[in-house]
Amino acid sequence: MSSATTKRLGAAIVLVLAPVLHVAPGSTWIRTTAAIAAGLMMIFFSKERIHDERVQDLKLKALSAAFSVSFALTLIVNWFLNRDFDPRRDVDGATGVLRSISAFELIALTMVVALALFHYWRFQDSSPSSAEPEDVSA
Amino acid sequence: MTNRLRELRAAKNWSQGELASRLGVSRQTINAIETGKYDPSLPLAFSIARLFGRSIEEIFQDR
Repeated sequence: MSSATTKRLGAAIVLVLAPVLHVAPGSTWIRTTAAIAAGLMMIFFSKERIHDERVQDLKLKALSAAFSVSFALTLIVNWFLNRDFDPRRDVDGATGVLRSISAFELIALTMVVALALFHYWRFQDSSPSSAEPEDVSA
Repeated sequence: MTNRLRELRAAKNWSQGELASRLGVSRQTINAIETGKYDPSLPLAFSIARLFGRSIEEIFQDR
């Protein structure tokens, strides 16, 4: 399968399949987020039209930064979800549930941030430096 | 690292796109190298040097 086809398939999963799964009878949020995560991964990890060393460098940097950002966001969200959780009371007495963002949500969040960073940096690569505004049109 | 890529390209009267296609990379990559945002790998630096008939040291200088 070509990289363009993989990207289109990923976009179709995110834009069509995930909403369909979400409104289907008996749907679960985890099924929707699994589809979104899978689609976004297909978009991010498929090759670019010209997949050179700069693209690989930017993708690695974007993925590293995105993982740190999404992990920090996960910790913050989990803290809000569990701010009333008392380990002594809730674990021993089994009266509470420790809640967390799912792995699919973490992956989807990471992929969204990584894609945004990658395309932003790629856009910056297209811009001439302010000191030498010459020939980027060709 | 600084480089003379823009100057050498201008001397050959090549556009960024033309140089990019000769090297098998994207135009954005050439722009990133020329503007100092990105230092190329050794294989790409060798390809650039070979294309311009220069040594790597003549094109890329340590700051």
